[in-house]
Amino acid sequence: MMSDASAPLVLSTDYETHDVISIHYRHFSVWLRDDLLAPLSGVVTEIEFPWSESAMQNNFQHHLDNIAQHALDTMALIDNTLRTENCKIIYCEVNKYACAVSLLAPLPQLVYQGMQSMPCPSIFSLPTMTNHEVSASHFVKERRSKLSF
Amino acid sequence: MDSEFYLSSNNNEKTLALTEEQFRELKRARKRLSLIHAVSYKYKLVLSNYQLVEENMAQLGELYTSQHNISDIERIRPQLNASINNYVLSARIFTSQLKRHVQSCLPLERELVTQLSDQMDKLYKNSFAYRFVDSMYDYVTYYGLSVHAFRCRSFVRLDEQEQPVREYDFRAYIEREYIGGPADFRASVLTETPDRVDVLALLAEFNKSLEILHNQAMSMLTAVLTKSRTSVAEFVNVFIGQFGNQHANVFVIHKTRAFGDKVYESFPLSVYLDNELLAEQV
Repeated sequence: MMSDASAPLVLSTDYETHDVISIHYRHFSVWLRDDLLAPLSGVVTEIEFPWSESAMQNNFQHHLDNIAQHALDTMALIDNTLRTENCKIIYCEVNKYACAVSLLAPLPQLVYQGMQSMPCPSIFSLPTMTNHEVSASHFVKERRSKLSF
Repeated sequence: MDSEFYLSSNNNEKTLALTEEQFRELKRARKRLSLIHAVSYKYKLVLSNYQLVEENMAQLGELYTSQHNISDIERIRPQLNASINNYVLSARIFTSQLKRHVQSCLPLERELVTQLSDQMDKLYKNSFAYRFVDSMYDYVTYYGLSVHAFRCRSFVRLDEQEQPVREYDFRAYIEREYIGGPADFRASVLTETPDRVDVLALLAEFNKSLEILHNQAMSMLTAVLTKSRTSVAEFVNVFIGQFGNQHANVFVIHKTRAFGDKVYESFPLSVYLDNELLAEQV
């Protein structure tokens, strides 16, 4: 299910990206364009998938080269699982510890219920979910401001 | 000491005797020409390495936009590091010998060498890029590493038809934290170094300083260049006049009995007439 960069990164033009590749860390993030994000409202729910032990080792051996692809695959998987018009991925970031996907939904229950039907990808340990009491724009802005580059 | 001096074609088929005085004149002219060529070649070395850095950056940037070909990413990344290393080393090759080359061509004009020296001090004082690349030499010789991080960003903008188009921005950085303590890097420069230095911008800025130095040195050497070339050309033309154009690749030979009648020294002449210097290219 999870490809090892078997295809080029394909990303909808709804999203912008920021990728830092350093000697000992990697941070890839994706967010919904400002103009698409601004009109949206709802509750922000962040799903954080920690890497499984074996995936972490694998990532280490491959210099974290594939983690951006894994993040996009995870986004696609969540999109396909929820398949509802009113749940939208607004932000996703991945590093050597975890991959975190944040969604906007009218009610967090929609996300929780949807995720019940999705098997956890084998490259991850069980995810944790957190609701953020801020607007989608504010959430993305705040996360982007933490990018040190 | 019985010595024999003559001009010779490349295959030693044709020879033309020289007096010792003529030999000394040619030897002096050749030495100066080779030094002036060295200034030009070394400058070209830096510029060529800069081009390689640019090419590797373009390749790597493209690879990171798709991240499809991981093996190519892993292949080009060390190449980029190598190109930046080579750039830094070649920059030092240029700056460390420049004054000596000019001095050897103009042994009696001390004030010109002082002018060049002052220019170098001025560049060091006024340009962070000059100081930084100069200090990088030690770091690079020690660690073999000249780039620490990359940043690849993509933005979406709307084109004339209101269609979204993705645009990429790819940069390479040296990070101050990785440079380490003052033991590995010139302390005064480390203090003023920002958290991150954009490599391509740094080298482009350094290129400007080198251009100033190269142009200044070359303008000091123009008269010597012309004089030495005229002198060499005279001899080469006499040789060609006598033996024809098929023997146009001329060498100077010095044989001495003290050396068992073998060739004691030999050097090429025509090569300095046939090659254009960087400063002469338009």
